[in-house]
Amino acid sequence: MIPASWFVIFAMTVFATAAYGALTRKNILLVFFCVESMVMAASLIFIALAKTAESQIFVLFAWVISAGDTILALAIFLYMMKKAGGVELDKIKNLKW
Amino acid sequence: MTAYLAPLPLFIGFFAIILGKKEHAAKVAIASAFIALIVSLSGVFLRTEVSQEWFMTGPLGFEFGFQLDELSMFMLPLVAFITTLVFIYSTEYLAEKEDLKRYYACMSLFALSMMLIILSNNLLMMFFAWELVGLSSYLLIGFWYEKKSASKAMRKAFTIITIGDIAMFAGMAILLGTFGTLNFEAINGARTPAALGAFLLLIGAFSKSAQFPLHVWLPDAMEGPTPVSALLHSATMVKAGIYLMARIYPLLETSGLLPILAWVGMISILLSATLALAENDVKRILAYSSISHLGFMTFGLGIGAYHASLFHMFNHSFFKAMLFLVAGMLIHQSHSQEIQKIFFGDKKLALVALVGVLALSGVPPFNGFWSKDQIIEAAAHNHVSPIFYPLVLGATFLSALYIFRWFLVPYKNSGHAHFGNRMFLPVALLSIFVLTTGFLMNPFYEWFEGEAEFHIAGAIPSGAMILAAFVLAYAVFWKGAIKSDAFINNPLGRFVHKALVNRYWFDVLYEKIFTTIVIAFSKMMHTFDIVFIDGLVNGAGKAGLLLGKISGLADAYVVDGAVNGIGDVLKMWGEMFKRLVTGFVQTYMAWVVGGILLLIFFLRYVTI
Repeated sequence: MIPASWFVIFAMTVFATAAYGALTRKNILLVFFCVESMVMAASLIFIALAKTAESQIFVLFAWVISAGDTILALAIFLYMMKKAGGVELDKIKNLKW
Repeated sequence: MTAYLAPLPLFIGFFAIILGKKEHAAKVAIASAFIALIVSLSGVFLRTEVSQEWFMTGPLGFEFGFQLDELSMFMLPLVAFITTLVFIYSTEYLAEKEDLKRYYACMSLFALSMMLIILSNNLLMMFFAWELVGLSSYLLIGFWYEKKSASKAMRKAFTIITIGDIAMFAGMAILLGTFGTLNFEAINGARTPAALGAFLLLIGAFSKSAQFPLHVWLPDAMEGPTPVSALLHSATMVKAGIYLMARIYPLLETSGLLPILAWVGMISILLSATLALAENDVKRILAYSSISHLGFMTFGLGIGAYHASLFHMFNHSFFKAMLFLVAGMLIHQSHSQEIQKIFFGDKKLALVALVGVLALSGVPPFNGFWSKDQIIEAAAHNHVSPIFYPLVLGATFLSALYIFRWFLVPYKNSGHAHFGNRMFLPVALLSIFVLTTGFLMNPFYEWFEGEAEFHIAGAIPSGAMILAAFVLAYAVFWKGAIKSDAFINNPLGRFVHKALVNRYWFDVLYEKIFTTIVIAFSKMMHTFDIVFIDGLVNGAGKAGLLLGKISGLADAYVVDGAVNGIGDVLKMWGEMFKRLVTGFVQTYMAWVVGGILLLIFFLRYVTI
């Protein structure tokens, strides 16, 4: 068997990378992808350390919810495209002091 | 028995005159004076004392009491009688257009306060009445106050009377301390000397009776109407001082102040008798004569002739009042006041004037002779000084001389007499009294005679003086033997004349002293005002200004500083924290991530 700890280390690495990416990418779509990636990493930990089937069902719930917020993200992305006319996050700075 | 109610009709009359109409003023005044006369006559030959406690302060009690003894029971009807006659005379003397209400009201006030002086049995009550009398005199002297000379005279009189009042009040306080009471019988009976207190009272008496050196107000008091002069300044008010001296006579005797009385009296006699010779105003001559005769009374009291002086006080009122009323009639018909210009014009008038003149100079059987001669005789064997007898004889000579001059100079002038019965009848009535009151000193009633026995022989030297004076007066004033130029050409005569005309410069001296004091005092007050009062006010202003400046500085630096400081601090913090708001979503996300990491750290590794 592959030890469960390797899955956890792998998931945490993915999570950290995705977090870094969410914070530093200029392209708003890449930020969305990174956020989804963070959710997948978290759900991987759930599956790796599952003792009963409840945790795996919880992962399904997480995927559904993240699908929902993807819809919202795409809506915001469309609005941003209309407003800023580009995908770079640098363009939205209305609330800067 | 009820003679002490005599002031009451005058008191009621006073208010009735003030509140009533002008036409009724004279009638009310005459009626009240007459009722007072009847009431006061009921007290003759009776002795009584009524006293009512007034108020107490600690051990000292002040009473409101009346005393009737020989002294007061003769003066009371005298005052009422002369007041009535003067009122009747005034109805013709004063024209309708004068302010009659004020006149009769003041005269009634005077009469009732004079009666209160006579009736009081203690010094405090007498002092109140004394002040009232001084007030009425002031008001009546300045009756025609629009005239500058009259207003000056009224102020002069009041000033001197006030000096006397202050002295009298101080004397009263000292006597109260010495005796514990102000009742006359108690003070006189105590037989303890109280020289200072009694002397201060004497100053008050001298101011009222116009004795040296407080005599200067009486000649100027002639600015008032003639009936005022007849009532106040000859017959009654000026007697108040003599009356006071008589009331406290035992005290003066025990305190040894009688020689002062004798000297002051003698100086007053000679001073005023000489001044009367240089005076040309008919009323002023009589004023000086009053001072002179009051000096006789003072002198008589001083050498111990108590009863003779009081008898002279009684007689003098009659003939002096009569002479003043005659002078009023002369002024009324001649429209002038100088003896060179006035005239008698009528044998009746000249006759009554002659009666007064002879009484004044002391010719028997007129009343002046009986009392004046007793004083002269007492001077012959007095214990104070041997010089008094020749001096008093000289005084007799001078007084006869000036009064004969008073009569002879106008007698030469001719004119048309013009007077009515209401002026003449009071005068005639008084002349009858002048003829008869001398005989109050008779073997049947001895109070006026007193200790001195009456001798015909004592009358010879004074009679000689009077005769000599008459001869001289006749020669100079009737026949014109010595012309007045003789005086003017002689340097000594010029000096004498100048001294007499300037009234021995007493007036000038007093005025100078008075004005110097007043000016010095006002200068002192001015300095006080500028330095102290203004200093205080300005200082207060400066302090307020300083306070305002400090307040402003506090406001600018402290208050504004605090407020601005808070604002600046907040601004600084705002500048610091605004950098958090980057508008960049990823920074917010970074903060969230960082916060969660911190939270995990605390929950996992920090034990609570």
